[in-house]
Amino acid sequence: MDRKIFFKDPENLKMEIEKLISFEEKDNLLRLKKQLEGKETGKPLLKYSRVLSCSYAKSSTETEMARGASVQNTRSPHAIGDSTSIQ
Amino acid sequence: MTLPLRDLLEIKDISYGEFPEISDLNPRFKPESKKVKATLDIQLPKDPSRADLSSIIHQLMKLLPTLEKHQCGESLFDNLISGKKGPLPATHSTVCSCHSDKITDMAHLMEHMIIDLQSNITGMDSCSGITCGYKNPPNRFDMFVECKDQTVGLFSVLFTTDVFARLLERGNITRRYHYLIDLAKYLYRNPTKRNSASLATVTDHIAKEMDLRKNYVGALIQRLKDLGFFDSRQI
Repeated sequence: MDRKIFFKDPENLKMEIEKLISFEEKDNLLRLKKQLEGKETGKPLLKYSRVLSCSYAKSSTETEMARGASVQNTRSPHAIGDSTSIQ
Repeated sequence: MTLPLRDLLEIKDISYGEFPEISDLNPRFKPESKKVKATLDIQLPKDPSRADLSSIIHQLMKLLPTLEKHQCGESLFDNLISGKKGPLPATHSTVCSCHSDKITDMAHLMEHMIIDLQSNITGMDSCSGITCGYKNPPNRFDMFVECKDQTVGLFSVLFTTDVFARLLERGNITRRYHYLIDLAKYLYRNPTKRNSASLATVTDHIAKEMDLRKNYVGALIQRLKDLGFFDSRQI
């Protein structure tokens, strides 16, 4: 499943959250609701109807490979994913 | 009638900042991290074969193999839809078959590409982002991606848009795109050569290092310029 928020009825989001989630997740989601409503930042995000998120974190192996990578490898397309800046 | 390409992908705005209002929308955002924000309007081509996501992902994986290692999905958010807590997908390749909103998938995939480009060019150990779809117009998206270097952030947005435009128009990516990424990485690692004043004098050297013709390297450098890679303006 993708990470996706639907809030067709933002006014009732709190009620929906209450129905859907377990107790330990409630705080996080209520914080999220506050953010969507912009209560803390003054910038509501209710202009959005869906939000998807993603991340990429290099594994320690990838990081080591990147640090050892040579610029001579840059021509290979297979090196693109495995190499990064030499730090 | 097929829409001209410029009407399929339109960058409305690119900016840079912390954007605290969205920081909680991805728990993996680093505290107070700077981000590049791109606002983009997307339309799908009339020919559905041009918007085939499987084919697009296949092409992108060849260009940026680490896309497969990206993580999408948080059970926290799934709960809002299904009420169930599911496992995180192992890789990005599982993501785009999960829902039917093609334009949103396209925007999300573009965000992944911006993440991957920045990670590979600047060597960020981790990079996170979000794609926010507007209620109105429904084909407009704000993408927020953590950004270590403004110029690379700008380049990553423009390059990604260029690649997707190419994919929607022609359905394939040429070797030149591979070389452009290689050259961008090379120049980022060698900041003295990234200086426009010294570029002319180092083209020979770069051509030798990349085993390419000097004229071809010159054309690649010009394309990087067009895509904002040497743009020192603040966005």
